[in-house]
Amino acid sequence: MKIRMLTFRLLTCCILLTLCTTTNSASIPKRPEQLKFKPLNYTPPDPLKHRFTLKSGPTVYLVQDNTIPIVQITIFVKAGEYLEPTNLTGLAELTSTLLVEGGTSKHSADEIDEMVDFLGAILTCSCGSLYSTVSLNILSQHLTNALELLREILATPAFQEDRLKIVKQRVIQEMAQRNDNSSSIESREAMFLAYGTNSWVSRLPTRQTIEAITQDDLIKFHQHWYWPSNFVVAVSGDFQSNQILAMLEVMFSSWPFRGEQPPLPPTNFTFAPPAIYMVHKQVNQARVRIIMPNSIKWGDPEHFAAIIMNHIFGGGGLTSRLFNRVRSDEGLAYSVYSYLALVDPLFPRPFEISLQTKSRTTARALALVFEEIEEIRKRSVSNEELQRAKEYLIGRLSDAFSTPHAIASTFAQDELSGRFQLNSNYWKDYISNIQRVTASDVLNVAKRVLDTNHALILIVGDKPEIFRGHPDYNVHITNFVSGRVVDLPLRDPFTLLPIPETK
Amino acid sequence: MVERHNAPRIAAGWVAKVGSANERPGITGIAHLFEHMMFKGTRSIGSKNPKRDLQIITEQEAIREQMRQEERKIREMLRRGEIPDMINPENMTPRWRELNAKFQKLVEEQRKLLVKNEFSKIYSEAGATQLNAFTTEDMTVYFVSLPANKLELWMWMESERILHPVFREFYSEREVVMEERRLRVEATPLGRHYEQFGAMFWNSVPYKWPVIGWPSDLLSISKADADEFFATYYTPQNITLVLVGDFNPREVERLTRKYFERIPRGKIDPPDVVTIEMPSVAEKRMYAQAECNPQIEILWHTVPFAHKDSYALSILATLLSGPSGRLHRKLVLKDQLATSIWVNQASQRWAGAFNIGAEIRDGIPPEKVEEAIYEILESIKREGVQEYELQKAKNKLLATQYRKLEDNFQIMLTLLIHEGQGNWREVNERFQKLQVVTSDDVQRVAQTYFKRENRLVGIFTRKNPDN
Repeated sequence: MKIRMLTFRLLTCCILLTLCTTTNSASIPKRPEQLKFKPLNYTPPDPLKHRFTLKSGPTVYLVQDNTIPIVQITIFVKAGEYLEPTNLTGLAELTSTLLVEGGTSKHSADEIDEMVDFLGAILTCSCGSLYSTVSLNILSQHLTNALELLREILATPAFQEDRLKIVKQRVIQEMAQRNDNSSSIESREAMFLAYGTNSWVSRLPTRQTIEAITQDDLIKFHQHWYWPSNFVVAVSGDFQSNQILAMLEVMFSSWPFRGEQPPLPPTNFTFAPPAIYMVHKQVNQARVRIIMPNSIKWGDPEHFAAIIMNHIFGGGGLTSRLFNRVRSDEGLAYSVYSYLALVDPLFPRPFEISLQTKSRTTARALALVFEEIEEIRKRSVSNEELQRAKEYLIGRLSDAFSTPHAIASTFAQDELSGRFQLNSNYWKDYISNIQRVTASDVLNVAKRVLDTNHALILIVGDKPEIFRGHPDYNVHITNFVSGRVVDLPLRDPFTLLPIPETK
Repeated sequence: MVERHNAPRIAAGWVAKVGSANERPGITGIAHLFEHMMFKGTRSIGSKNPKRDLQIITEQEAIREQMRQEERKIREMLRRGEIPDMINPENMTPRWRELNAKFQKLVEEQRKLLVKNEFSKIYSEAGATQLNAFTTEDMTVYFVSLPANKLELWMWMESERILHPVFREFYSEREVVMEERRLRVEATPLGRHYEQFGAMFWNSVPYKWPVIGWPSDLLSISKADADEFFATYYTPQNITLVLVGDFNPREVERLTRKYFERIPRGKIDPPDVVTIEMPSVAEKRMYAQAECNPQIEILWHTVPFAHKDSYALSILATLLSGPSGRLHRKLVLKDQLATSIWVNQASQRWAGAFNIGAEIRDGIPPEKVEEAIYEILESIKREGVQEYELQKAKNKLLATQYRKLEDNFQIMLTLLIHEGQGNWREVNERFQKLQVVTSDDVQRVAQTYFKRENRLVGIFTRKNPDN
């Protein structure tokens, strides 16, 4: 790879509007409803116009935009954590990290660091439970070099032993922090309660599983899954579409090995019985999460009703019912929201409500949340609320697709998860599907999603203070769900085994 | 204005050049609390009965004034050690609790008249996203992303909230900010440590207190304080609007004149921050045991925004950082003393700091990492840097600059932040100034600023949980 010195000019020019002081406000209406707006008929981009299939295997989404001389290339790989053996938990992540940090057959890791830095590029990787990514963001004049480098990294990584050792040490040292922040404890235990401690969604590496991973394991994992048939590629920015397709075809052709098709992930999860699960930690704010075993997965007939219900109830940021009650009315929390992840066509993800409040108002905040749950399960939402939610969800569509990168990566993820294959008109029909939802649809879906009979509560915080409650409010922590309190012990950060209590 | 027609959206925002540096002891946190209050509505937005609403606010203030008198006594009790804190309800006097009960009655009455979060709702149903704001030491920034046809709505809403704000639910919002403080600072492993680290660093400039404020101050800020703060700093001569996206600039100009020219110019300009940072006379050190992995933070006093040395310092920070930078190469890869390294030159409006930090590898004495950092800096002071390293840093800064132009929202934020720190024009000028930095410049700034008496060193080690 050649390295050249760069010189550039900055292209933008900005004009600042200065304010003067004269008055001209006669025609300003008293209320914003009186303003008239030109209609804006927005149609989301069509995935089929951006989608290409390469002879070498990958599906590619291209979104060309030549205004800024930058190209962003992301390779999504069906090589997520669910594919690793449990005794080597952490293998998928280490493989992904070492692709980027471990050198290739042609260039040492140091040389690659140097090249990437000198070109002003950003080379990153990520690894999730379902897939991993390798991304390169680079000035478009280096596009040819960039594709060569990506090919090298993906096809012929070296997984250098010296770098593997450094990364393993770093990963183990990071584990030491697992109990430092109450939010880390909360996320970990929430996953364990919602999916069981041993599912591919929730399980975590331990010192033992990381130490057991060898260079050979990385090579095997790589050769199983990192081949073009398992790639979905998103390219956005400054290029010519016809040229880049030819370049990508070359990049992925004659791969040095043939891998496997990954199996579907298992979907048999264990949801914990209803109770108040409590982890004691001496901090002055309790972290509270209510989790319910929702049955709605992506593509369910009630999919759009559920989106609207969640928006009105707690998902709608500064306007939701939870926000109004818990934050604005009573100042009990800075952040309070509900979360409904309708992303997987294969299995539903639990419905969650999160808030953080000072220890002694925990029960009060829970009382307000449960009142709101009752309310949305009992009474239809008003037409005005329904209309506002629809206007928002439709209006924000143009924001979700506002950058070339956002378009390419949204479509690539639809392809990876199988959503595109199930319904390629999802975005095209989004607006009409939202429009169709009625108040009684919202009521029905609220009854289905907000399953209080099976709800559990996880609290991380100062147990005695949380139990003490607040003299202004006549409510106790045991008034909720079954009232049964289960103390969860802290876990050893390196083994994740419960730490025995010391008296 | 930056016109861009790639999507039918507009990123719109404004900056008030006021932040926590404009506060004083006693009202720390007011700039940020104020940011929260700006979402509470206006005379015509947020209440079904604006007249009664204003009356209630006046009645609430009368009770609050009595509560403040009582709080003065309670504070005295706290100073004498008669109560442990002013947070737990049991520590407040019966008189205070009685007043509070009366106050809560008025809150309930007001709640019946409220149209909850109507300001945000109007934006939301217009398809606006990313509605939010932030406060720093130097500035308060309000922003939103809108469908392109809703330009006039933004003009209406923003001019309205600058012209006719009503600070409803002031006291419950104070509680929200206290929860925000717990969330970000008090209930995190290092929040309080970093707060005191900052308080230790600055000698005289008003960056010594946290943006979110000290809890004692937050709980005593009154609505009258907020009114005064607003009148002083939220005047047109202290505010800049930025729009980026799909619009016609003439239309923007016409609407801006129509909506914003009705706001009268402030009678006096906001006061300058006159305090200049005093040069340090001795190295400062903090040793902390906390729930964290071992780490080191070093801060050196440097220069404020657009200072002539800020460019060479940015180049120096860039060439020291990154996977191929001198520090990572030596400390993480070669000698394996650290697991990660961070470097930053932060020039703020009134003063600046250069930061190098590292997470220390388990079992390595922190001072060894500290020494290794100084050795690298000393070699730059002696020998300067290579042309190749210099060019690499310039390339990285250039690419970073382009990345900030990728979407409307980023461009808007970049302009607002530059304007808040001093001048939006720096967006265009900074790049040229970075390109002409030489190896000699880098060597000279290293010699000037990396002096022992100019630094604060923090060493954090893991607190033994059994202690």
